[in-house]
Amino acid sequence: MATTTKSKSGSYWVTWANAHANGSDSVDDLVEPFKANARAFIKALEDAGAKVNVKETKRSDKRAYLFHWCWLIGLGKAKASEATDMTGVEIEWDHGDEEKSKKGAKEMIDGFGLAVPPDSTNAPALDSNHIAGKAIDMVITWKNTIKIKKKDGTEESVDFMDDVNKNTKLHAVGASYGANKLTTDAPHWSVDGH
Amino acid sequence: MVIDETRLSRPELRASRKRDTIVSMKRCCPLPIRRLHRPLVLCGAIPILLIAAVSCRKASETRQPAAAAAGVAFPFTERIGWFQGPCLAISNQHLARGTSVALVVTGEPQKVQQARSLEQTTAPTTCKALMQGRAAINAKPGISFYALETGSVGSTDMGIGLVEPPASLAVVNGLARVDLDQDGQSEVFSSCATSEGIKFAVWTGRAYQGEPRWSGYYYLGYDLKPNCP
Repeated sequence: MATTTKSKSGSYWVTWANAHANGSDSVDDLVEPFKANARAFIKALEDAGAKVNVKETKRSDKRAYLFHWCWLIGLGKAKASEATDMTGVEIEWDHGDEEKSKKGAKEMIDGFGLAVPPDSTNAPALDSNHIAGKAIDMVITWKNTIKIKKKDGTEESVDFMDDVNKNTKLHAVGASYGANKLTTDAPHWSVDGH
Repeated sequence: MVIDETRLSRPELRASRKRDTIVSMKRCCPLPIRRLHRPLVLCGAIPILLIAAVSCRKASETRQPAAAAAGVAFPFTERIGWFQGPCLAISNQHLARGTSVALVVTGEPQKVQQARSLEQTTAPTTCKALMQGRAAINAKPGISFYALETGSVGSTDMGIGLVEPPASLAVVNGLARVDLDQDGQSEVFSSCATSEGIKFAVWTGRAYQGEPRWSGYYYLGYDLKPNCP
């Protein structure tokens, strides 16, 4: 019977995640049909003269798992013994001593640069559209006004706005391709706007 | 009712006001002081200066309520930013080293801490907002990042930084407040989690209900459960 040796939580896992559990910035890593929809939207933007800089597409579920549990344990919102296992991430959250477990998790919070949002009791999420390959973060820029083709072939004149969250005309163009804008987070477009 | 009130000590502001007073004295009391001989300065000028100072102070005091009622322009964009630990992000490229920054740590209760700006930085070790995967979104054109000398602010603390606020900040019932534009109405502070970041905001009146005056966004690059109203 094969046995696996687990490594205790701590800064080692930050290095490990940066080598083995990174997110992607490639549209190819999205899932269909969102992949084709995002690609068509980006093509329409670029054909119209916009510059599209894709920042992130699919996020690693392993990285999300490490973020989630180190945040909860490091901030004392969960006990190390409560952490679930994840295949392919042989981490030992429980050091056999509560303070040591917390210290190991805190090293990871710091190493990952995780924020501790004020008043938040919610840890970084285990599931999301990004993790499912159904969301894309991108910066879209152009000068003045461009005409962008919607999926039905009609053109929409769209002014550039510094605050993309307020650019409802651009949102409508994206929606025609099935890329829906989340209006709280500037770079985020997804299958359902979440 | 529990009232927790924290006042910031502001020696720089007092020094600035002192300079303003001197300028005011020169404007409203143009006495030919330099032409006086030393004995005259000792025997006559000091009482005259005292009288002049008192009369100018009275004139200044009588002007203050009118100024307050009219409101004073406060450049919200250039004087307000958001921070995480020892790093301030702000739309201001000209913050001098040593500038006083009041930090509103937007926890529950909110806290007010005093800090000073150091040099501009692009180091992700200082500014977590500039880590790989975040920098491209957070370092928007016009936004500068400054290292801060923060004293007791923790590395994970975050909130809103006010550059040389015109009045002392108070914490009342767990909420920081200050009248930034001196119009008789206090500004208050909020922060909440979006799906991928933190939204910071300044309001006149009540958070999320009053007039929005400033907002900032910190992209974290991972998924959160949003709690913004």
